[in-house]
Amino acid sequence: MSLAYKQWTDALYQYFTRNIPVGGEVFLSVDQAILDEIGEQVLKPHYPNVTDWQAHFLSQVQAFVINKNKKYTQRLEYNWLKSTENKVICPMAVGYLAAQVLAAHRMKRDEEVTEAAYIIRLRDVMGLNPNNTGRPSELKAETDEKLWALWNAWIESEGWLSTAHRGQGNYRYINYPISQALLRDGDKERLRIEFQNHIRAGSLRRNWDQDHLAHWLIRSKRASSKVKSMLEQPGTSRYNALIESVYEIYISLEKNQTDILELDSNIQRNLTAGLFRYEHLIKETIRYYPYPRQARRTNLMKELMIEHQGQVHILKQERTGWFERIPIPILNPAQGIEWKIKELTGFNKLILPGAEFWVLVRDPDYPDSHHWGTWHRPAPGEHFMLLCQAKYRSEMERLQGLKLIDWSDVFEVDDLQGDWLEFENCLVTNLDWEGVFASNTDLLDALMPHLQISISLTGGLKLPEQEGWLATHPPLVQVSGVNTQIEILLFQFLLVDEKIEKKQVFETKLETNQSLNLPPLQPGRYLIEANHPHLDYRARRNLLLSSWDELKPAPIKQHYKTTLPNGESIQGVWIGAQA
Amino acid sequence: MNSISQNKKKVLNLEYLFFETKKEPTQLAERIRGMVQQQKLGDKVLRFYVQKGASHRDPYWAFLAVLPNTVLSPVTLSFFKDIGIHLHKERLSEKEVSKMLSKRYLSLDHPDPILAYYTPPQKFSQSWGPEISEITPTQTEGYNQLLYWLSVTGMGSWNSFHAVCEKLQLAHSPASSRYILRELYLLGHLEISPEGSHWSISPSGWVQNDLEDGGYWAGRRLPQQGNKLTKIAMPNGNGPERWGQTVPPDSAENAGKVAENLFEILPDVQGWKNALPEKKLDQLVNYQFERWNGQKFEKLEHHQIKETALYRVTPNSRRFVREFQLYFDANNKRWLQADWNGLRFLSDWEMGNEMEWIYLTDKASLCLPLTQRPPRIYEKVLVLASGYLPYQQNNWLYYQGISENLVKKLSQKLDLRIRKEDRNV
Repeated sequence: MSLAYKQWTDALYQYFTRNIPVGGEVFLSVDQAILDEIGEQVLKPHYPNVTDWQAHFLSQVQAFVINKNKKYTQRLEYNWLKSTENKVICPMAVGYLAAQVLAAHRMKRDEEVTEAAYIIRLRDVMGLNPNNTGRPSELKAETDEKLWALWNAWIESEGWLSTAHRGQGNYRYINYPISQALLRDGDKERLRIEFQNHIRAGSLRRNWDQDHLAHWLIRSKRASSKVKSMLEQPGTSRYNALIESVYEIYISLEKNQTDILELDSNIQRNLTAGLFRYEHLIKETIRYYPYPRQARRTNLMKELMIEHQGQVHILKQERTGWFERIPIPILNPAQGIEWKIKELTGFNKLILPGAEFWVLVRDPDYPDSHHWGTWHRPAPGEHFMLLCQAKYRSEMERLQGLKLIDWSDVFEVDDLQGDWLEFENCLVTNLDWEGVFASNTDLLDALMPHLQISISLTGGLKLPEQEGWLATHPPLVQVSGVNTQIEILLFQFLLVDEKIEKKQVFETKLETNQSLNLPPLQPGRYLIEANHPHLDYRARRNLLLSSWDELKPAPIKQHYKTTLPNGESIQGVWIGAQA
Repeated sequence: MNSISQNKKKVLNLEYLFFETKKEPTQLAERIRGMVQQQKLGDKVLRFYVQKGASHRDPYWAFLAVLPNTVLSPVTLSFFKDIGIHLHKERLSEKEVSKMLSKRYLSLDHPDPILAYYTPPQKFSQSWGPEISEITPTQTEGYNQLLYWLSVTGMGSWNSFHAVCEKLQLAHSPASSRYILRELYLLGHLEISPEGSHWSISPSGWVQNDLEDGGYWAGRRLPQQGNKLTKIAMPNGNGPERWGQTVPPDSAENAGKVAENLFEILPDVQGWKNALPEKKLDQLVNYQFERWNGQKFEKLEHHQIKETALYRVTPNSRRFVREFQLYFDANNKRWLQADWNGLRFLSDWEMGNEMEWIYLTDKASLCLPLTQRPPRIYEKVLVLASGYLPYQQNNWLYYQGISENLVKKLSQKLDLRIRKEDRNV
């Protein structure tokens, strides 16, 4: 096995799992641009003379998978890439699976997705005679499926959600790589042209955030049919990853010298910021701060240096996927702000898109805090806060009158410029929003539930800044969604003798919106699956249970002290110097 | 912040049935929800609100929103009777109910599919309340786990602390969580931010007993660090175990005789009062005032605030629901902030109320009435002398491991009488 294949496998695995928070979905969506990026950023020091990274990658895969006698090697299964400390990093097959996805990517936009079309591309990437038709005998479909199953189990045992899945009929085997190819080359090109045209025509704004763009794509009926159809199936797991990929194209359109918008490939990309709401209970103030989001799948940036109007800020990584908030409160969330990124990070600007309304959820890491932010789109059953201009009030009351949404209170926000309202503790109270007319479709789209069912974990003893719950105090499981009885399956992951076992340990039926007490469980990694009895609705959620003995102290960001009357201070039992 | 809408009510113009209950509201909501579904009353009974009374001992007020002129059937009425609920005959209007509701309620929405239950988190309250004198002793293990959790988490908000106390079933109200927070502070395990809204775990340290050989562990600790130490439960069982032994372990740095050292640098009561932080109150009309009469708080008007006394102050703001106790120093026109016990102690001291404590020489224990707890920094000295919380019995607190020398100095600094008793005599 070549060193280069191992290096590619390691780099690909790191690339596709980087910045993905626990419970996030992992897509192995390899395309040529990504291979070039990885080659230049990671492998260049080892192979300074290589210019065609795709060819380099494929030659390593071909040599690894197909032996001299043109026979498929059986050594892929349960063959692990390990660190120098002999710790398992990922399955060795990742490089080969990535090559399969590359084959799926190469299918043209208008090309019908068939097994025959895919096999032609696969033969091509694997260096097999392209004139022959049919699946090569060297690459058995059943073995490929086992490798995808191994990849899925590995991803889930690491705390993420897998996304590759089997298809139906003739798609049974080829659906695995196809499900990973988010945007084919042709889709990207078409989106770029569409965005350019609509921006010029004034029907698409330049400073929208990810959710606004998604709503526009669905509503405008202008997006490519594939992207639109994928976005309109909000129950599918690809929604978030797909919209991120589409958004990357949108936000990377830059004006060139001739004032034509063009896609500057991967060289000049931009980061975006959401909002972080901080309520100071003592000062009785509410502040909104820009909250920069890390780009998915990019090189690890532990710090971000930005500049705006002569002020420079250095922001550390706050948590997976997010930098610290910029310490200057926003005065008007409808106005966008841009910061220049000061370092050579491959990113040009940080953009806070202005918007007349924002949907914020409770801090997922500190659910008991008063912090709200744009961490994710609210799932059914999840409370959220709507910050909006006062003109949206009548629309909100109309939706409330239709019993689609409810909230606990509405407040004016004195600390912002203009007339802003906060609708506190909003909750979607009905999942059927079909046929609702709205005077503002953007707001309707932002509030409309995008999943049919979702699993929420509440209660229990959660460890902030650490993943998971204490096994002695596990969370309650609740499935939100249409009224029915849902099948609940609980799987445990065990790595035994270098084999991953995904073992079902519990099964029950649960009414939606009712809470379930889990049976007593050992510390370990679990996956909860909820399946609708008749419809193709499924939700999954990772669960990590830790023992008290495994706890690791978190760094303390702020130490409080008691100032004594003589000016000295005491911290616990340590009498210190002058306060 | 101004509240500008009590939603839905404008749209539906509902009437409210109401009742008092001491039952746990979530379970109650569950039963009522079941009844609404079973009796198909979803188009008539629309919402369920619960409002907690002012103190943790007060009952809940529960309100059921129904369509105007809804008549409940005998079956529905008997349901309420069976679960021990007495519905008031009169009905309330939107306006009346909105006056009674604060921020905390449960909502039972209809129609399905999503039934909404929610209790927005407790709004921060600085109130220690005069009525939180006792707490039900619970398993020491729960307190140990609480301290491990705090040690791992490092720091957090008051809300996070209260939520964990509830999840570990150590507390069922903000007042009892406050009590636990205070105990952990007295033991040197954590510190509280000046406003009381946050906490942080304190660095580990080995504290030498004042009176005997040996010492104990204070501050951040994890289960595996206590393997070789002697673990003893707190008196009354209402705190984490004391980890002690005669020789300091390698894993904790020696902080010395903390109680003695701390007491040396504390001033007398007047000095303590002079150093108290001040709270600025902008316009008095923005607050409601109650004055402490030695037993309870009494309401009074703004123009009556003239004399030096302990007051409970509640801002009129509806969004930030909280209250705090302040000591008004009329001579200097200053509103002083301190912990509840400290303010009450100051109030008694200024009023010249007699305070007498007892020192049991045979047991080296100091006994004081529950209502005369000293300011918390002085009480910390009493607790750190031995590493044990006081034992509570018949409204008296017993602090152990207190030396005669400390008692003598305490009597001088706190300006009170400490009578010596030897029960062996």
